[in-house]
Amino acid sequence: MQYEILDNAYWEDGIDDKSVVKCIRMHNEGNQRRKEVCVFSKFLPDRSLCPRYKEVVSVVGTERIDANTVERRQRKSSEAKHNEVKQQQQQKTQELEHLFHMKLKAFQIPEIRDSERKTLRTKLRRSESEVEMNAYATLIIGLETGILNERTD
Amino acid sequence: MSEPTKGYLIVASRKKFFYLSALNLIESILDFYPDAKCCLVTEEHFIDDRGRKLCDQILLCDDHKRAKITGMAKSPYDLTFYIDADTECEHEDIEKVFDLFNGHDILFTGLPVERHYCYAEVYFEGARKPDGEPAGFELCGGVCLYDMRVPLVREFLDAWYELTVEQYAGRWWPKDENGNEDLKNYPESFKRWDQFSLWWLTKKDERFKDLNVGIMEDDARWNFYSKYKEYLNHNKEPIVIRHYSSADAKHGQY
Repeated sequence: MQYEILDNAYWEDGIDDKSVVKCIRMHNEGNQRRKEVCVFSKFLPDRSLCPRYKEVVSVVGTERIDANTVERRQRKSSEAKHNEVKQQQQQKTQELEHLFHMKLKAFQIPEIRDSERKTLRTKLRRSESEVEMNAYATLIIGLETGILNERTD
Repeated sequence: MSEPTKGYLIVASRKKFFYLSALNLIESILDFYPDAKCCLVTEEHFIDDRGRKLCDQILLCDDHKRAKITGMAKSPYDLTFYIDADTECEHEDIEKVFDLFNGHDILFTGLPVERHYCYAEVYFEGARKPDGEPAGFELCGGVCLYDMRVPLVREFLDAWYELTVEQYAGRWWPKDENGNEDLKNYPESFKRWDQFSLWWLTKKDERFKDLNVGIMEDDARWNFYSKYKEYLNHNKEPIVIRHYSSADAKHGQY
C-alpha cells in the first residue's frame, strides 16, 4: 500500500445505510505527502463489492467510522447553529447602524429638526425599524406643514 | 459641604456627523432624564439653534483629532460622565451613573478577554506581565466617569492631552535601551491612538500612581458597542449607552 488511510473516515452525510464511506488517503511521494479525499460506494455498478470500500472499512473499522460519523454530525450541527446566530447578529448590527444613520438624516429635515413635538421626536428616535421611523417622520412633517390638519373632504 | 454638580459631557469635532450624533445623544439623555445637564464641546461653525436649545453649556474646541481629551479637561461639572458622540442613550439608569464612583477618582469601561473579538489590537509586548502572561490595554475610553474636584484627575486629563498631542506629532515615543524608538515593545500601529497614551500614563507614569482608576460596575451596559454579540451577554442589566462606533455614517457627508 503506497498510501495511508487516515482514521477519521465517516459515513457520507444523508445516507444512513453505511453504503458510502468518505475518507482521506495520504500518499507518500518522495519527501512529500499528498492528501486525497475519497468517496467509495459499497457496490460497484455490476453490484459487486467495491474493494476500496472494503479496504477502508477493514482498516478503520465499522465502530470507529460510526463514532466518527456521530461526532462529525454533532460538530457540523453545532457549527451551523453557531454560524446562524453569528449571521443574525451581524445582520442586526448592520441594521442598527443603518437605522442610526437614518435617524441622524431625519433630524436634519427642517420640519423635524425644529419641531417642538417632544413625544413624536422621542418616538422617532426610539423607532426600532426604518418603517416605524419613516412613519413618525411623516407624522411630524405632516403636522408641522399643516397637511395633516387640513380638511380633506 | 454643597452637593457636587453633575453633568454629561460630549465632544463633537471635525465632522458634522459627530455634531449631529452628539445632539441626538443629548436628546436621548433628556428623554430619560429631563433635568440632565449636558455640556457640548464643539467647533463654532457647527453650532445651530437645535444645539443651543438642548445644551446646558456649549464650549468651543479646535478641530484637533484629540479635542475629546481637552474637552474632557474643560468639564464644568464636578462629577462628569464623558460619552463618545456616536452613541445613544437607551435607559433611565443614565441618571444613576454618578452613583458608580465607589471610591474611585476616574472610571472607564474595560476590555476583558471575552470582548477582545471586538477590538483590533489589545495585547502588546511592552505590557507583558512579569510571569510571561500576555497583557495589554485594559481600559476603553469610549465613556469616562470622573471627579473634577480631585486635583490629580485634572492633572491627569491635562497630561493625557499633552502626551497625545506629542505622540500624534511624532515627538514622543518610549525609547529602547539604545535610545531609539521602542517599536518592539510598543507597535507602530499605536502611534495615532489615544488608547496608548492612556495606558502609558496609568501604568508607567509615576505622577499618577496614586490616581484611583477603576472600571465601571457592569461596564458593558455603559458602553455597549453595536458590534458586541448580544448572545454572549456581556451586560447584566439593560444597555444604557449603545455605541455606534463602526457607523458608516461617520464617513458620509452631512
